[in-house]
Amino acid sequence: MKHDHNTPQSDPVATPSSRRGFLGVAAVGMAGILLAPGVRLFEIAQAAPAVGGASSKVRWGMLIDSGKCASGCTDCVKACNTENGLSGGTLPTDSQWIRKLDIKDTHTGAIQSLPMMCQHCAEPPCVDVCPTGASFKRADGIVLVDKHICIGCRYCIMACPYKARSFVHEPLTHQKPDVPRGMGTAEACTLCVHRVDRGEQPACVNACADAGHGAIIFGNLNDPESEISKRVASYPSRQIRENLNLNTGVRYLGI
Amino acid sequence: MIEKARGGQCVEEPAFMRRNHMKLLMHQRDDTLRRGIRTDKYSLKACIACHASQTSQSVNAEPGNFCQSCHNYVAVKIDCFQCHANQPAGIVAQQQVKP
Repeated sequence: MKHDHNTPQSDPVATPSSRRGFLGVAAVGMAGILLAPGVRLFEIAQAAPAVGGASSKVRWGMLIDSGKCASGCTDCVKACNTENGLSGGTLPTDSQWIRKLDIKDTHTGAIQSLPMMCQHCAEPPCVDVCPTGASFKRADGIVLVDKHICIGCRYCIMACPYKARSFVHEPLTHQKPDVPRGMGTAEACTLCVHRVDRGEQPACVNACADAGHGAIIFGNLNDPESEISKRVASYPSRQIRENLNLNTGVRYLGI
Repeated sequence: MIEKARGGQCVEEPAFMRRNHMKLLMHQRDDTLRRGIRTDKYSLKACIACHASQTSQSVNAEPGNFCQSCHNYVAVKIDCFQCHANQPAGIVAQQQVKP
């Protein structure tokens, strides 16, 4: 990635080694000093506290209780399609970020239902295979595609053991302003990153709760006080394809 | 002729924006996508909310729209809007309800 260093960056101010320099400059006069064209010190100082960004202290995850997930209910899928501007399968090649699966025990005949989507692995195979670095994991554990540099090679789609990624085959129009999507790139569940950054829950979690099932819990796996962490600590949850040691962010109960 | 923006004041001086808007957008895109830093200043969404045409509700649908008017003149193709919405959030929502 080529960065232009004339553009505003808060990094020089944040490093301890330059703090002395910063104070010295600040003493001269905060308001009028031009760091780079159009970027003044006080603007960076004002921007810093309001700007959180993704932190590695957080690991977003989901706990899905397949016992509460109703067979035939597709509210989470519909909510995902609406939130992210997906067609829901108008064309056979259209993207699918979340799908409902029914799994049957062939010995007993017991059927369980569960939603399947990007599992937001701690060790994501899609990131390993990406030749351009477009497939990446954010500091807070959300796995995303940087469509600016995705070349559409589809290695990630082949590498994902969960078949979670889709390829956009057709030109798109009227995308959601919060969810840019375009032809020739790979895409998958973003854990509704635009909502999470606003402090909200993913659309599927809300839809499941609204439908009265409440089968999906979303939260911070790194916070021992969060509901999801307490549940994960007290009940035996499973990762799908545990044998791959991917340490998924999405975990399942009752499978 | 460039269409008038809806808001009052741009985030920077017009002369600065003319030369450097692409650098600001490039910087902002990595901050937003990779580091999760979402600020209104320099955000493409905020640009579009203010600069969308009053007639077409878009920044690039017609030759005279804000982005398109200069980019046509200098023959620089913009591919932002192959993925990004070219209309403010409210307008997109209305259009999706209609059909």
